Amino acid sequence: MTTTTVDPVVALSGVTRDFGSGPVVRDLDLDVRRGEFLALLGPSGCGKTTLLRMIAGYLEPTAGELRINGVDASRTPVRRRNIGMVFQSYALFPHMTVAGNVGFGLTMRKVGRGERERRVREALELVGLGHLADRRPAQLSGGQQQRVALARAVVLRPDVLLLDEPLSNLDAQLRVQLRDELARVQRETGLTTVLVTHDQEEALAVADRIVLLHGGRIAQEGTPREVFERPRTRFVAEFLGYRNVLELPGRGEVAIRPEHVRVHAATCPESASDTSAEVLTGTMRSATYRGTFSTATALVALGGGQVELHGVTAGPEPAPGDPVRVELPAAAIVPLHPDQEDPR
Amino acid sequence: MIRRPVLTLVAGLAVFFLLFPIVVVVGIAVTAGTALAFPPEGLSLRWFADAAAYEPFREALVTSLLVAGLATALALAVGVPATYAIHRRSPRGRNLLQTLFLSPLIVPELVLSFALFQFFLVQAGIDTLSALVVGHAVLLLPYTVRVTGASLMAADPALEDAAAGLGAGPLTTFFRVTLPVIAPGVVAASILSLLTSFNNVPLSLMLTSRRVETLPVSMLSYVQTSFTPMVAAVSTLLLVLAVAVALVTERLVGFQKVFGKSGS
Repeated sequence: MTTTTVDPVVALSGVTRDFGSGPVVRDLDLDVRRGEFLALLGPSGCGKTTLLRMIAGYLEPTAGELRINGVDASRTPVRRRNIGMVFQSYALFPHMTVAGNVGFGLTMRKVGRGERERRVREALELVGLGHLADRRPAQLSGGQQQRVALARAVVLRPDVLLLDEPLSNLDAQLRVQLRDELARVQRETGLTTVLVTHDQEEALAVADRIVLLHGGRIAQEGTPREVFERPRTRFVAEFLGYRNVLELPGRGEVAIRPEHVRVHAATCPESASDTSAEVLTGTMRSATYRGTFSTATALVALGGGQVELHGVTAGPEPAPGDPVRVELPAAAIVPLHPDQEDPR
Repeated sequence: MIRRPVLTLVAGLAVFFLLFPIVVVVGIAVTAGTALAFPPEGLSLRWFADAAAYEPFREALVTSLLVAGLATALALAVGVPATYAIHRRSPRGRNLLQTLFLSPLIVPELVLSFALFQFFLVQAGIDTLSALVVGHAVLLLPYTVRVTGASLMAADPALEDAAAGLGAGPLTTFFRVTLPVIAPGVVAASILSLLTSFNNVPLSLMLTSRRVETLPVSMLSYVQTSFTPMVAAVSTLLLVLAVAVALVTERLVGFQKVFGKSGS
């Protein structure tokens, strides 16, 4: 085994998966470091679930190598890997009790009865369900079922905990609550974790590191802050909610979030506070009152054409058709790099 | 008094036509006389006693139960794994397989039974009972494949993935996860199969011999020579059996659950 600077639990190199109609994951290199909480983020069809299923062992890579703890596991079937998986549908066994579900993996591993019962109890207490051990899944709420699924995966002390869109079947409020719980359980167990999600908020909130996938390749990776505040390409910027992508003279292609763009009536005195801001002039298109602020859309002349910019306006909104001044604070302007060759 | 006279009349007629034959059969069965007459001439259970004592019927009943039980077991043993393979392993020619397993429903039963007669009894020289069991099993396959298939389609395929992820091999997964989950479908398929086999005439007619007969065939040959209310008594007993099976099913699993969800 070669020593590396980091200690990857899962190491993928040159991994490709093709279902027969073009690769879904293409020539991908990725290390999952010991103890980290990694989020695979991307729109549907970006290959994130395929990637997760290859790490789990439900799919074999068409090409490339997958190592788990330094050992080639590309052809190892899922039942011989030590993974813990939480499914989108939870996939709890409906004919078993909660304790039966959580203990199933231990029974398969021939763990003795006494130890099995102790570990099942610990796992259920970890997710706060110690009192529901004898219930059936059908008697539990969605959130409780989700916790049982988590306990069932965690109880095996897996090499890597895999979460496939675990919160997508829950309503918004519960989703936030269980998201924090997921982060807590991961911290307390120290398990290396890979989360698949299309919800950027979820990824930003829980992950140590985000890998954003596009067309089966890594579009960008980094800490949540790095990825969110410094998207590299137009695709990443747009996926993360940068609604304004434009060519600025002297700066090239840039992105800026609408909440940073300020739209003023042209008659308003210029603020002297931010002298480095880019200032554009145009006409007001529409405004929507949102309570503490209003969102505004303005048309500005740029590079010989008209560009629509989304921003916010404070105070009285200019009427549609009014001349406006649009300010882009320099610190909020993110320079973009050309997209990698179109993967499709 | 009657708020919707036309509707009530139509509904009443429907119920009448459904129940009338049953009433007639039961009526004839409890007659004290010797003729197949309705209404009965006096009440008696003598024909039930006669039927119970009639040796050909007793033997035929044992044969029928044996054939129904064995054929159902055989059809489940072949049908359930086949359904599992069709729905979970997506084999090549999956649609062809599915159609093949349903074909006994489409091929006229007499054609099927003649083919089986030719093959089993004439060419292979298999004994009557085995031929009956295998023949009935072929006839029951569509039910087992269809009904358990509906249960499988309703079950979350991620359950089997989950079991594999927890370290279970394919056999363990099938017996500890898949089979318990589709158990209501298997029970429904069993009941349907038992009743279908027990009531079958065309296939049994072709495959039975003078010495080994199923109950419906035995009744048919009895009716061709004798006209006593004994056949009505046997029919009544069969009716009671069917109702009993239905009630037990209802108590055990619930009709809605077994037949309602399986659908087409």
